[in-house]
Amino acid sequence: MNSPPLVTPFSDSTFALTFVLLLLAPLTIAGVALLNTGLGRSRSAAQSLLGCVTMVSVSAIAFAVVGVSFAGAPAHSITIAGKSWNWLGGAPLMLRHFGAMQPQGQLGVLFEFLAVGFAAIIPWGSGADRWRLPAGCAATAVLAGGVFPLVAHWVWADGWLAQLGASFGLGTGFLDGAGAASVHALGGLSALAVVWIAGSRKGKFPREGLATAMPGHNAVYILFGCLLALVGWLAWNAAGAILWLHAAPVTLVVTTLNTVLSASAALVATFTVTRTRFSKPDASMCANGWLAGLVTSSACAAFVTPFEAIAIGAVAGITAPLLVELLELALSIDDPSGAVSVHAAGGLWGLFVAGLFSHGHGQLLAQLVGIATLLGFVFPLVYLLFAIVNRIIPFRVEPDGERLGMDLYELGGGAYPEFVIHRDESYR
Amino acid sequence: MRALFILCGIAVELLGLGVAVRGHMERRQEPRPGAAGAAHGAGRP
Repeated sequence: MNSPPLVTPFSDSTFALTFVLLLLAPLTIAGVALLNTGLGRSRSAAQSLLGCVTMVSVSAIAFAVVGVSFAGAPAHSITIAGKSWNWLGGAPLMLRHFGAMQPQGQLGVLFEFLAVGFAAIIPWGSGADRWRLPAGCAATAVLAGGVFPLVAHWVWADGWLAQLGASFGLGTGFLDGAGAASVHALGGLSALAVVWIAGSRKGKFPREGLATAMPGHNAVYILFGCLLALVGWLAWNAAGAILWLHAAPVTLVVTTLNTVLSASAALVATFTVTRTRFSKPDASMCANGWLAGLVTSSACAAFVTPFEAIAIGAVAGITAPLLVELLELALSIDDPSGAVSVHAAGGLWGLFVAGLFSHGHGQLLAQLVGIATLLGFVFPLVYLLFAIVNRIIPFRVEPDGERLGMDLYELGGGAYPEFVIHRDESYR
Repeated sequence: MRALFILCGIAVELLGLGVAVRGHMERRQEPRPGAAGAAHGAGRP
């Protein structure tokens, strides 16, 4: 078992700054929760938003009880070919060691608590309109108690990915400033697993013809969610830079600027793409583009130049709407919130460019090893675990639930009882 | 050599992902499951 890594203690001002930033970070979760709700249908709106709150709660408890042990230090390492591989944390269960931790260690755990909640609500949006709440809670417990801590440990607690630099001379090891891997790539890939296991919404992919369009029910939620997410994201990227990249507070202005520029470039790119393709800009696609820019910035905002941030965001903004279309029309993937295109693809793209624009020798290879681990190990693991959960607590709602809407079926009342009349041609 | 190894690994993974996508696409063409099938995951006949 390894000792906890030695870190330079934070000054009081750095501690206070990081703590305040972490207090603002949950606005990101609020923004994405609104996006998830707005992109689903009106008859499932209350279940969607309640689900987001529930996922955050379940993930916090699962992480506190079990996950924090696997995520933290000290660690269990094994030696293979003369190299030490730090696979798993071995801290006490149920946060028993929390009071004895150094203050910056406590901040790191707080960051992980927020990160695991964020990762949990990403697949929830993709399962909108058919993923049952109890099944979502069970899947979230598995994600927060088992998979997220593994990735967080490898990336943030001197795990084997973080040690790729020391062990194999690959730059400074795998870099993930603010959760591009452990939150977004993990959440996005989990979303793909959910979509495949739960299946598409009824009537989405008819036997003949194109996929049925099922637009989000509230563009105001979607776009306000974008603005709310920005506020949290600025805090998130800055706090991550301090905690995981050991950035000095004076460098945070550039990190913040890069976050805004990445999102802005992505929005402009998506606006242009959708306007060119459909004659008019598409509000929900633009929201997804904006979010893709923010997701990308999570990986690299702390160490790219503003011009590079614009270029990186623009590519994310061009790719996001095209991927949404590709997944839906060509690959039959029914992803109402676009999490696979935005969080998985955006996160992986950010991790790649973090290596591309970093000046460390071998950094790109370190990032590629991390991406390969996410695609080749983490995604199959999540799929397998979710498939087991699905056997015990079925993911998909009964056909009646889908017809009535998740609100009436699971909660007994709708989000807009006096204002909305449901009408859906596919159920006639 | 190390770079080639990593790139080949990613290529194999992408191939596997492609196969998985293809496998799930075929399910989508089948009739939607009834209540019993749906309760244990979509896509089964």
